[in-house]
Amino acid sequence: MCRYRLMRVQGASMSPTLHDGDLVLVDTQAYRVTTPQVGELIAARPAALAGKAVVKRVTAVSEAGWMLRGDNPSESLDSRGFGPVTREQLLGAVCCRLWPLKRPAVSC
Amino acid sequence: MLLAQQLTRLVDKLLKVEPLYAHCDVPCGIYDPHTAQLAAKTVYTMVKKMTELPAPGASAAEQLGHRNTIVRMATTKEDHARICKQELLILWTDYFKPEHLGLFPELHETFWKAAKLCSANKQQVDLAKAQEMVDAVNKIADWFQKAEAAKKK
Repeated sequence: MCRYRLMRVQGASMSPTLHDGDLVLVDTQAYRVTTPQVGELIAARPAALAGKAVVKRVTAVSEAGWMLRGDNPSESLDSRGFGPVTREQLLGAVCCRLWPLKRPAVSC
Repeated sequence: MLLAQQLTRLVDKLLKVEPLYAHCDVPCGIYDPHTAQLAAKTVYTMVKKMTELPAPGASAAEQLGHRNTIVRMATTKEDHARICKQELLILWTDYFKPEHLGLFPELHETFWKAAKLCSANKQQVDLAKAQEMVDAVNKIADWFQKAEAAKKK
């Protein structure tokens, strides 16, 4: 399987960092050795969402897993809703935005 | 549909681009009144502590210490009243559905009053008001459990 995966953002919960329709690159091997740190943008498949992938920011790390929040809390469903994300549910790190080009890329 | 949208769909299909949800409305179906209850209890405790805090001595250091303690308690009260209101609004607008009105005809009135009590407890240091808030949140938590039980039947 390819290490990098193309994904299309849907929704406004990560505004103003990511907008609806942005094309991002997700590094699926980013957390093979290391683990997500607070402040990083990650992609995950929370069990409660039946296979759907979400993009969120890590806000806390606990024994139960990683707590995630949207950058735009009023528009976001996050760990307040689906609980901490476990290692198996992690998909990877959102490493950069490929489209649109006119806005600066997300830093790793 | 706009040409740009059609083009995006085509590109996504060809390159197997998976959607990455950043939604407010992906229905996860996981709700819990516990956070609201904990927040309401914290508000009550802070009000109690503020009203029971002994008056400081005359020295500047004691006065300053007293002010500092009061400000810290008021900040905690403020924060938890906000959390409580926010959690109540999630339950009210997302969890409870029109069909629950049959089970709990006073649902809207109760949530409305509970949310207003959260605001009142931000503004005031009133133990009776704090107790009212705890009771209102517990009542909602009880309804939540009943609604969950009805779902399983």
